[in-house]
Amino acid sequence: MNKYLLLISIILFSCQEEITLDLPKADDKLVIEGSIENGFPPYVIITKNGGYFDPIDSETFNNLFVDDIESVEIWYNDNDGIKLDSVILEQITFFDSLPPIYTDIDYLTSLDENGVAPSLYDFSKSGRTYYLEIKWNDQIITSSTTIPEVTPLDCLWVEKSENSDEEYEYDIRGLYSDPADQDNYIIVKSKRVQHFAANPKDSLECFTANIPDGSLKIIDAGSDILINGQSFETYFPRPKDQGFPNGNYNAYHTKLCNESLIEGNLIAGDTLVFKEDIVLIKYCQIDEPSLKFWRGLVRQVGTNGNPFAEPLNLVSNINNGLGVFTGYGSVYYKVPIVDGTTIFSEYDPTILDIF
Amino acid sequence: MKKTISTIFVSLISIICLAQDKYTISGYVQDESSGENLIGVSIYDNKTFKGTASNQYGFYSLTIEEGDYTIIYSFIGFKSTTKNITLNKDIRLNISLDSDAIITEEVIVTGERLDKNVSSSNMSQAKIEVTNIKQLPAILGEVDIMKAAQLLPGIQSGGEGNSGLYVRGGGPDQNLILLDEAVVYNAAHLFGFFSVFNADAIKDINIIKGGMPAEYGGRLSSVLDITMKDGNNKKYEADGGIGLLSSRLTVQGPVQKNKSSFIVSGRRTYIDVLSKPFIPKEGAFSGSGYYFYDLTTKINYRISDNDRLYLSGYFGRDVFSFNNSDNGIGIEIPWGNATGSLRWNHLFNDKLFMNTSLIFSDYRFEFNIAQQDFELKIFSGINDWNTKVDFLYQPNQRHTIKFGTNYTYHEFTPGNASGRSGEVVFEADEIFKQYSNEGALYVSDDFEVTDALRVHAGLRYSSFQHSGYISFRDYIKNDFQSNDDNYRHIEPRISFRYRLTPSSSIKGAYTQNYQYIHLASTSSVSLPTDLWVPSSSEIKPKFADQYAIGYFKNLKDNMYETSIEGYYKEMTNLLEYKEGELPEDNTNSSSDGSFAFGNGDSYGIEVLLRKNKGKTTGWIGYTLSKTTRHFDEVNSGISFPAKYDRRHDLSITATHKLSKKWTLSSVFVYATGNAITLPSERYIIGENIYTEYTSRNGFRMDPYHRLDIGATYTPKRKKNYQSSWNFSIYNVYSRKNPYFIYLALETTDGEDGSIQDGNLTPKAYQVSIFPILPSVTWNFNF
Repeated sequence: MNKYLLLISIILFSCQEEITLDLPKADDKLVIEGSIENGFPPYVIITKNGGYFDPIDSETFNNLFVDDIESVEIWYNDNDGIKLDSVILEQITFFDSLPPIYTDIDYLTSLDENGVAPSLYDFSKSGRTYYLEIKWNDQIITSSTTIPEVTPLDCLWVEKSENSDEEYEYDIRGLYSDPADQDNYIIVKSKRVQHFAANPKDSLECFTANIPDGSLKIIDAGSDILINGQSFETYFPRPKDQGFPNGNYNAYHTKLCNESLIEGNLIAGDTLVFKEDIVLIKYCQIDEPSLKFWRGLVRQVGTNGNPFAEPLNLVSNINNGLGVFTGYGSVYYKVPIVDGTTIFSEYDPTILDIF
Repeated sequence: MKKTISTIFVSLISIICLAQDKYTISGYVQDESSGENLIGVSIYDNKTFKGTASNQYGFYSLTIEEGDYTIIYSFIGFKSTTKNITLNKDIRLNISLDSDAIITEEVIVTGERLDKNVSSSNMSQAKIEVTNIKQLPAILGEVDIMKAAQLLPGIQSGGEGNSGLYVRGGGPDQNLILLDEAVVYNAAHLFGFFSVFNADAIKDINIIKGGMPAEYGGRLSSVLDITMKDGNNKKYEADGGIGLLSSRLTVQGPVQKNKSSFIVSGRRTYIDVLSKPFIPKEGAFSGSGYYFYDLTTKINYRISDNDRLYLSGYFGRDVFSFNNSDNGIGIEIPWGNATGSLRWNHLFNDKLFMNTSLIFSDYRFEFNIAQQDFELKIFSGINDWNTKVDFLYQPNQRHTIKFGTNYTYHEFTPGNASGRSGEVVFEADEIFKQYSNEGALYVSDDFEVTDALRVHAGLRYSSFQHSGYISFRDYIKNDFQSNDDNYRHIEPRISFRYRLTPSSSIKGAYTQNYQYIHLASTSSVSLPTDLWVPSSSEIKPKFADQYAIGYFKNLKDNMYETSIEGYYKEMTNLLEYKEGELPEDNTNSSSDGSFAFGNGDSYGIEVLLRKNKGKTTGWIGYTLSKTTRHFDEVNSGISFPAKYDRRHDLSITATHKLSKKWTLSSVFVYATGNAITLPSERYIIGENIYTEYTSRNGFRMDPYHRLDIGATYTPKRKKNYQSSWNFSIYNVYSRKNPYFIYLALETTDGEDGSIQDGNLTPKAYQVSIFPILPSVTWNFNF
């Protein structure tokens, strides 16, 4: 809605100026991004909140990291509500510039060099409800989530994009049959595990390179309120950093190296080869509280700047903190953008695919 | 029901019997030039000042002792008429007042009954003359009765350019907006910038912000009772105007001279036409645009001296379309109101007047979005069938008795969606609807107890029955016995006037109001997306208690009217979406579980100084008020200021008749800034930054103030036509009033920023929309 409201206000001679606001500082709270997914160990990323007008530079970003967490535990109960199995998550830092992750270190050390585990991670299963407890600064932060049953897509295929002028731009489409007897809350994410781009940053050479997406991004999150029990065709646009996802994927194509591609040491006339994108689609069932959070997150971008909207906070399922703890009943598909491709079978993900 | 009516009749007859030595003078008052019925004309004896006023249909009835009288008929903008009458029998006297005389004279002759402000038992009421409104400067030349109403104390606007009314701390859904008795559910065009009422077709506007009489109900805060013109029954006439934003045309004339007339009035904006050249045909946004139009029409027929028929209708639509060929998205959003009223006036005798109405009202909203093979349509609305019978009985000069009944059948379509993806169509098995019956019986008496004390006492018995999610027929068949969602309430309405001196009085009022239908809104102003929902077993009716007291004084032979009123209002069962709930969660189903309920209160002092006579007229209105809300489930249960909490609100309007040809006008407004919610903290999920809002409406925008000036030039009437030019300058000193504030993270070097790169800076921006805006409108009449 906000787009056209803004459009109208622009039509109506609007002008804007920067102002200084004196906003009150909020108390320190933990921000949780917790995940548990069928067949994979849970992980929790913990950061802190900041004041709205605190500057954002590398130093202040690191200030949001929390290094004095006492413990992070996840467990599930038996039918009588008695703790049946639990795992203590421990901190692991992959990059200094990213917040530390808490996960099952034993699982990580058991992986081979391809990221494949010797056996299935049996702790995380569809149908179970998991409890999270974090101890920090004499505070206890809790949450719970359920991994719903998995509902796979019937199939996916690659089709020439209708709203693109470029021959090589394609869409991924899919057929989904929604189970009629349950409420479904669906979140779909994707990332390009292979994506060729010309002239990578700071290079003056004329060449292409594989620059895959760093992590999964949300395409959309929603409930089956309108589609319950129906079998229908849908499509999975490429998510952008913000806003309505509407991107395409690239099939194999070539371009001539020219001035528009690089500056400096041209080798004009050389043919650049762009291999086809390979796209990982993560199709998940989540529970309702998680949906409310993720849907709100997709929308918060949409309501910022809408003059009429009551501001929406993300509806957290974390007690005494911010963020979300989500159980994903997920299936994965690996889709090469090659004309005529149809995928019926799921892809067996490794630990690197789930992020 | 039958019993109640027969009891009322018996008591009426007994009053008639007691009044044997008195006689009645009655009739209709109309405009000499057009035959329009005149509303609120003062009719009084020039010695005793005993009198009455004509009702909404121009009818008056005055019962006084036998004798010789000089009766004065006086109405603002018209030349007063005096009739010498020997009253020794009942007299029917239809009067025509001449307005032509005024135009040739420089000074407006007289107002209404001179001390009406002081002498009537009404308080917290106001009338605005359409001719007055038309002389005030208007934004882009668009004359707007709702914006004029906002200039009165106690009535606030929602913000820059917003035509919504916020009356004594009430929300926009708490106003009963009636157009020829039909409820208008969304009175705004262009997302609130303009009201749906075309001033050319409007005859009279009565605003009640407190002390609501018993004949009105179903809303907590106010009544805006708008009467359309009947149409000239003497000669054909066309009026129109060409403005920057829209053009208007009104045609009226007799169907059968002096017996029947019609009026048709239309208006359309041309933003879409004007903006078309700027949207390239080959460009991404080709096909995007916006327009609104409305059409008002009315026919009346005088069957006999005792019977008149009126048929009136309104139809308006806004259509917004947005196309972006870059991503293949097409959006179309049409919305609007339609109303129709069929009314029959009948005079049983000189003292008993009846109006029977059959009314239809419809509001609908649609949102259509399409991208590639995917289509989604969201639609909602409300549809009413309403019938009412109102009686006005004036047995003698001391009593004005009103009684009547009102029944409305509501059909709500709160939020439905259907869609299509390729060949597959998603549709609910049935469109989700809710049905309700709303009824009322009322009786009131405006009673002059002594010469000093006048009391207006009324009772309204209201009932509401939510008949569920099935049609009325099925309901009668299956569920009639179920009482789960039934509400019945008695609403006392009382006000009094105590005259201290001939030119001053004190007044007080106490009213109780129930409101059975609710506007569920995710925004702070009334938007077309808002849903009307009925009370049910989950949603209790809203309720308000209001106390008001005031001192009224006229100065310099009624040249100046002054008043000061204080009020206190308490509201319960106010409704908002729970945090995190969205209207779409209830697509095709009931939204009863989505709401949080809370209370509110508002108190304030309103001061009005008004000059009605002389070359310079106008008023100064000032309001000091405070409005808060309390919801257990909102803002962590802490009380917070309402969005439209306004500590200070000042309006000054002035119109000066410079010469026969030139009239000048100006408006100045000042208001405390709107209360808004801003984030106090932010956090990171994934690679994105999100904000957390902590204190609801905890931040104030800068105050709002603005000066507008206008001038109307009316050259000498040409042989066949009269024209006039209206020049307006809106926001003369180009004050950058805050419209909204938004926060953004900006990169320092203009490139894509990220948290890791540390190149983002949080910034706050204030957007102002209307700088200085001159406009000119050409109006004509022939």
